[in-house]
Parts: sequence; C-alpha cells; structure tokens
Amino acid sequence: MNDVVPSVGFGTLAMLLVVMSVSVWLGTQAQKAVEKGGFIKGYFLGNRGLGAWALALTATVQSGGTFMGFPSLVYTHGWIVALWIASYMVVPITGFAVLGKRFAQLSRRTGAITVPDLFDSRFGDQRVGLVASIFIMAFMSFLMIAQFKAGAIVMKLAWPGTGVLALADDATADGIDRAYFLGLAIFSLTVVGYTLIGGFLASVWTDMFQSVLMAFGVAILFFMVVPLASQQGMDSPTLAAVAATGPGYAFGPGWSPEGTAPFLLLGTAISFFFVWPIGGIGSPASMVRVMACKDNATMRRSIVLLSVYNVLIYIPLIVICICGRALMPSVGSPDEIIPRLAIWSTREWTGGSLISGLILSAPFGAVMATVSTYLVVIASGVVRDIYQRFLRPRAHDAEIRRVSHVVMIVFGLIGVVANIHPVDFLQKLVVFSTTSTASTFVAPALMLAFWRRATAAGAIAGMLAGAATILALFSCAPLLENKRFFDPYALFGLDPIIWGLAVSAVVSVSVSLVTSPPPAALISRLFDDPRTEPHRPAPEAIH
Amino acid sequence: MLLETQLAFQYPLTMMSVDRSKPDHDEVRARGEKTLVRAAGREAALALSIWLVAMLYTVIYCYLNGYGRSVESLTFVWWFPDWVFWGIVLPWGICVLLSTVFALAVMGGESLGEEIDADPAASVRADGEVRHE
Repeated sequence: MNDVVPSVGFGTLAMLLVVMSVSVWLGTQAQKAVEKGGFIKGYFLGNRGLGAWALALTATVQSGGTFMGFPSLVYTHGWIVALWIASYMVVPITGFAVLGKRFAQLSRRTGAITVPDLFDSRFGDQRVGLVASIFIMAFMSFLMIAQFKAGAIVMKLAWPGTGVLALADDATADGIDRAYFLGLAIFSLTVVGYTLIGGFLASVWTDMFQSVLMAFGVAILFFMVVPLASQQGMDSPTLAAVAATGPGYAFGPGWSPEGTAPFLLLGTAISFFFVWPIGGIGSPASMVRVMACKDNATMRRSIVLLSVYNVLIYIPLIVICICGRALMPSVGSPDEIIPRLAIWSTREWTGGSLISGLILSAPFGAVMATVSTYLVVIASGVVRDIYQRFLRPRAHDAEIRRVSHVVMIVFGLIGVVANIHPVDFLQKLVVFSTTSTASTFVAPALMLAFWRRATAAGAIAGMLAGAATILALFSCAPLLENKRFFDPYALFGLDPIIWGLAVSAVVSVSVSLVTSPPPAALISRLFDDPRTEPHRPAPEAIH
Repeated sequence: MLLETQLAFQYPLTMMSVDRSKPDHDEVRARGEKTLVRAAGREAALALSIWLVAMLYTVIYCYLNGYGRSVESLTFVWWFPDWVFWGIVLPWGICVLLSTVFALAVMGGESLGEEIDADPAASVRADGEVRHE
C-alpha cells in the first residue's frame, strides 16, 4: 500500500555532509590527543587510553552491514533471521572475556603495539609476526576495498535527483557513472583524510559517533513505524507479512522466493553461532582495540554497555523490518527497506527530510568508520611490522609519521582504483576474508594467551592450516556444486568457518607438541609473577 | 634472600624507602598480574561455556518449535511469534543479565601491569632476554 518510490530530499545530503564534517573534526581532535604521547603508540594504539564507551561501541562487529544488509535479510526471509543473528546475545562476553584481559596484559608486558607485534613477542620468533602480518594485510585489504564501493554508492544515492534509492553495498544501482565517481572521490578523500590526521583514535571516535547515530536511528524508526503497523494488534504485522509472502515467513528455515535455496537450515543456524562470536574473537581489528583499552575496569564496563546496546539495536531492527514487510509488502530491492521506511514515515513532518537524513547517515558513518579502522590496521602492519621491524629499525618519529601517511594514501588510492570497475563478487570476498581471519587467528591467539607449551612453529602451522582450509572450501564449491567463485562449500552442511577453526586448532596443537618447547625464561616472563623472574634490563625505547 | 636481591636489583629506589611490614605497590601489582593469568583462563572458560549453553538452547529450541509449523498453530508474545520469544528474545535477555553479573561480580579487577616500550628490532633469545640488533 505504500510502495511509492520516495524521493531523496536535500536533508539526506545535508546530514551526510554533517557526518563527514564531524568525522574530520574528530580526526583533528584525535591528532591533538596523539601528540600528547609517543607517535607510534599514540597513532596506532591511542596511547592505550580507550574508555568503556569507545571500547564497547567499536571493538566488535557493528558495521555498515548492521543497518544495510541485515534489515534486507529480515525483510526478505522473515522471523528466522532472528535466529541467524541470535548469537549476538553472547558477542559482548566472548569478545572481551575470552582474550581481552590476557591480550591487554601481554601487550603491556611486551610493549606490543600491533597484533603481529604481540605474536612475535609471545613466541619469540619474528617469523610468527611476519606471517600474521601478511595474513592481516591481505584479509583486511579485501575488507577495506569493498567498503569503498559501499561509501561511494551511498554518496551517489544521497544526491537529490539520482532517482534510485538503495543503500546496500552490493547494489550497483544501475550505474557506475559520474555521480558514483564523484561519491567515490569525496568519500575517499574524507575517510583517508581524517584517518591520516588522527590515526587509531580518529577511527575509534568516528566509529563511536556512528554507533550513537545508529542507536538514534533505530529508536526513531521503531517509534514511528511499529505503531503504524500494529494498529490492529501486535500480531498483525506478522500476519500481514505472512499473507504477502507465505507461511515460511513466520518460521524456519525462512521464506525464500521461488527457486532459491532455503535460508537457514539447521547446519547454517549452528554455523552462525560460530561466525559472529568466534569471528569477533579472531578479528585483528577487535584484538587491537582490547590491547588499547585503558584498564580492566574499562573492559568490564564495556561488556555491560555492549550487551545492552546489542539488544536495543538488533531486536527492534527485526521488529521494524517485519513491520516494514506489512506496510510495504513488495519493495523491489529489499536493501531499500530502511531508507524507504525512514523517508515514508517522516514525509509529513516539518523537517522530516532532516530526520530521515539522520537515520540514513548511520550506515554512511558505519562504512566510513569501517574503512578507517581497516586503514589503520593495514598501515600499522606495513609501518610497524615490516618497515620498522625489518627495514629501518632505528627510524625516528618524523620518518615513521611520513611513512604512515604515505602508506595510508597508497592504500586509499588502491581502494579508489579497485573500485573504478568494482567486481561483482566483492561482497563474497568480504565474507571470505571475515571467515578466513577467524579461522587463521583464533586458535593461535588462544594458544598465545593461555598455553605455555605453544610454540612458534605451532602458531605458524595453525595460521597456515586455517587459511588453507578456508581457501580450499571456498575454491572447491565451483567444482563440486557448480557454484560461482567464492561461494562457500558447506561440508556436511556446516559453514567453512567451523572446519577452518577445527583444522587450525588440531594442527596448532599437534605441531606444538612435536616441536621443542619454547624457552622457559621467555614463557616465565609472560606467564609468571614478574617479581620472581630473573632480572632483565629494560629494552631500549625508540622515540 | 635471592628474591630480595632481585628486588633490590630491579627496584632500588623502592627498596630504599620501603616499609617491609606492608606489601609495596610493586608487590601488589605483581600479585595482581600473576592472579590475572589464572583468572583470565577461568573467565575465558566461563564465557565460552555461556556461549555453548546459549547456542545449544537457542538452536535446539528454535529447531524443535520454529521449523515446519502451520500458521494456525502460531501464538504471539508481544510482536514475536512464540518460538522467537521463548527461543531467542528470552535467552537474549538472560544473556544480558548474565553478562552484567559476569562483568561486575565475577570478572576480577586485576592490574593489567605496567608497560614497557618495546623495540621492534629486538628479538628474544632462548633465555628470555631481549636482544637488540
């Protein structure tokens, strides 16, 4: 009944400009904070000063997808998507309580600034750090490049008169045209610019800003949309949606258009309890943020804050999108459901365009924050783990600063060039990279933190085995099931992440057990009371 | 004696002014760090147990009650189909409470320790010493 295509007003563009301006301002504020301490630790780790809000709202897996891909899934498949996302109920506790405290402690005790730094120091072997660094840079580059496309498309579609309205990062919107290129240029300049200015803190603060925007957006939408859809009772949105689709909309495995595969079979449902919580543990971007947290109390408060935040974001979003199906039963592109609801429900309000702009700026902010985060992780990998470690160990702050800026600009340019002709399977690369990251790092990271017997060879073997398993399962799907390249092969109905984690764990442990134990003194330094360790002169600091 | 020699070597200024009747700041910190390793292991195990229980309950409940049903059998709790409420919304709420109790009452408040400035060019010898290249 409300399927008229809404038009995009100037309010949306105005709000995007506000978001960009605030982000640049946050970048300049971050720069001031960075200059209070040493450059490396300030620029890549925020001087280990992250507070509870910053840690909670930025350290796990909120991203552009929260406000873009996820609503589209609910609108399309119905209530079963609640089960798909249900593991977020434990993401705060697994994200911080499994590795957080030990990573924060070990990174202080070793002076590690980056994740490869920590691997290197814990295993006493630079090859572990190098392997970790290469994998992080490879996976993060895929993730970052895909986000450039999303940012450019949001910019393009926010421009009044472009005629289409889609926020999905996989939506080509029928047009890689001048507006797209303009959007790509503006987006890239903004995000690379403020990240370059403020480094890690700039990415954290903009991430926090978009999380707050997202919370406002969900709250406004909930109170505008749900009462409209529930005028005949709280069950009426679901019944109307079922009438518009089919009975599967209210049950598992979910409603799917004819000819498409069931959405969530049992094996996939189990798999997603691994993908989100365990994937969160294994994300290098998350690891580096717990390394940057201020203290233990901060981490504890973050668990509470994130638990409350997640439940207030995801449950209402599901209800909103079910109501969206009842109010707008046949939206051509499901990715448009949130912007359509936002614009439609504020159409008669004074300043409604600005309110819908506020709602729509949330995913844009999320995309910017995601790119910024990956840019910092990649730059720290190149500068700290390769340039400073292997090429110029005695480089001074000014040189490191210059190289960091050059690396960010180069990777920003790579992001732009890769998106001049964006490939169709880029979104699949994102899934592949996320799954690979978890499979590569979770088992070695757990061993790093808790197992004294773990060896450098075990950690390297675990990383290689996890990554190789994922690569094999993603590669053989086209051969065995005639799927497209980078579609995963679900062995026994389970997502590749489960096989990757299992193989990585078995190989890490086995290789550790058959290789020589790590040096007792090294392990004692990292696991035992520092007062009982043999005297060790303080390492020379670099400034 | 050995320990005291080490302490004097590592913390000479502290040793000169320390009141031996009370544990000094470094000793408290050191105990905290030692406790942290054990506590972090326990907390990680507990967190993973909560994850496992949540997964088993949610997936099994939803599979048994939310798959292959007829619309006629559907009842609602607020906006939610019955299986969504009892299988997802309720355990989600319980997890929020559990996480809060875990964070505020179970997780220890140990010191994370003091930081050293690491040299990226340094590698660690077999005896645990840091070698600068």
